[in-house]
Amino acid sequence: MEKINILLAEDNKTEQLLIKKFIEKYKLPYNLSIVDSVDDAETIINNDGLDIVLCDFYLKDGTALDILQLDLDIPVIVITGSEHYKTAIQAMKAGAFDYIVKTGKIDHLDILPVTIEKALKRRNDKKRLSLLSKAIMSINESIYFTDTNNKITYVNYTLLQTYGYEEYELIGKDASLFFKNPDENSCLISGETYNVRKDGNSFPVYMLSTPLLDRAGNTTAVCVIVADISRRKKAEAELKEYSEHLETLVKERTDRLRDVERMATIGETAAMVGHDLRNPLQVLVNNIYIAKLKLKKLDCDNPSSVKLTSDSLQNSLDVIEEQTLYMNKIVSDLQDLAKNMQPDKRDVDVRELINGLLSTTKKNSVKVKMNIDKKFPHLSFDETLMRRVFINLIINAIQSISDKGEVSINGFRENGHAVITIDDTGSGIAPDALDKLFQPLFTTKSKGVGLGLSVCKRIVEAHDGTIKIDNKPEKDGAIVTLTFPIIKEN
Amino acid sequence: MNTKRILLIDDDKNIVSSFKEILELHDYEIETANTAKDGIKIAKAGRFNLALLDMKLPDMEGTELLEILQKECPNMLKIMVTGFASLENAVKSLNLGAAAYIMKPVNPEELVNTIAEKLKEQENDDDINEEKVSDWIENRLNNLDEEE
Repeated sequence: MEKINILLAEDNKTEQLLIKKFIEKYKLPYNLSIVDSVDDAETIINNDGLDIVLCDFYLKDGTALDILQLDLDIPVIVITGSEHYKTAIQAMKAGAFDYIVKTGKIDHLDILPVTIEKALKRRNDKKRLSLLSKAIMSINESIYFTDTNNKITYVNYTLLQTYGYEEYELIGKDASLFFKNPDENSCLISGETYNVRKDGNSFPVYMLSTPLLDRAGNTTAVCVIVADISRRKKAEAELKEYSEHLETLVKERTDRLRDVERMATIGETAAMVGHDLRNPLQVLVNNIYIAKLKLKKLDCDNPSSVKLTSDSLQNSLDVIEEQTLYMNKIVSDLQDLAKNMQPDKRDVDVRELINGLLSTTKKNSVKVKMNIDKKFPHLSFDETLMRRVFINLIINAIQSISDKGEVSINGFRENGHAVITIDDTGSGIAPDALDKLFQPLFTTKSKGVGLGLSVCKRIVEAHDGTIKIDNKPEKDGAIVTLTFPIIKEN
Repeated sequence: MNTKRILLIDDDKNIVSSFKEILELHDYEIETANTAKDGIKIAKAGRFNLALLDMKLPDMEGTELLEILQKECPNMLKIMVTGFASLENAVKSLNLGAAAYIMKPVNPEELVNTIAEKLKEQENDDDINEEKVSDWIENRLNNLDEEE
């Protein structure tokens, strides 16, 4: 345990000895320095490290009052004779911590340890208080205290600087003078608000109020810490403005991009559709020209000329009809792609549906087989739409075969779904094209708009089905797999 | 007068057959091909005065075909026919030496006129060339005479 440094100012040798003996007897942890004059006391006091001064009232060259006048921040305990109670009062008035009355025997010193202990505790408390007070005073946030009537009792230095007041202008005033909107004062405990400076300018603050309670739990005062958040607010506002600006910018760019994209799509579609319509148009124009030319040369009196001309006209009209249908298909595909698909679903026998198509999709060198048995479930199809899907897929399969080959159409059940596959022995699909097959306007054909498969996909999905196309593993050709839910068993 | 021979290269069979019929009605001799590969083979095998080339063929771009045919058959006139007109393709075609660049659908009458016109120019060029050659031979002969 650290020893307590005590200065004993006493001119009476007996008294000095008495105290020394007392300390020895009780093994008190005191370091005692002894002087007999105010002068000597002053010298020691000026050196650091003293904890307490024990001082006889009368000294060689003065009194304890002279020492008390030094305004020490260490406690002074005055020792007086019993007959001099007035001197004790004098000493207490001058700032002594306590006094001890001499009895002439050693027993008056019995209370010495307790007195010293109390003095030291007081001294520490004072130190702590002074530290806290200094901290509050010099802390970089505005702080004020109010009493229970909201009157200001304390303000710190930062507050005075921030608000532009002198201390005397605030103490005893109602704290609502800090608020831009004084009504707020009563309801705001903690949070953001606006305060006003003495010059009337307002600024954003964050306030934190803490009630100080007594032992019974009653509020005795309120401590309010005010943080000036002007800079944060400004930064926030800037950030907000910046992010809003960014948002507008992104929106603008997105809109512009979407416009460009839309125009590009329209342009691309127009170009592709234009290209695809121009071929049949050329065929129409050519056949009309041929027909006119033949009619011009027609010799009505010559039966063989009549026969030749009528055969030629028939041929031209057939071609014109066929090309018109083809042009119609392009336009329908385009419309299907653009419009909302609303299939008119009915119970359809898939086997019959596909069987009916096979005659229209014939090519002599390609054999088309269908392996769908009678037990295959009927599906809920829009017949017109699904017919288009199957025609498209079967024609694609046939066209992929340049020479001889086979297309087979299979139907089976898998995991409670109806599955239809169309596979061919054709050239298969280039790996980089596989991903793009269902994109509108993507085509691998030199004559084709690239709408067929994207329309197929839309139709299949409108029937809650799925469609995928893969190359057959380890074999030539591609396989299309269609999957549909089975609505009911037949 | 010799019958002029024309080669049609287009993968649309209806286009090929109708152009063939039209041009035959105008007394041209026509052969056809549906791919660039076949077109090149036929062009090399027979002497053609002119070819109509589609810009988009299943096995090759029209401009590429034009470049090959320009090397293989420099004297054959080439007319590009396209359903997908672009400035880039037009400039490229003309730079590569196409005689004309035509957009589908073309009025058959106009096409026939263009073909006749181009063939006429070709004939004149040939005549001029022939004249030049005979002039040159005559000059040489005269010079030889003088030298002697």
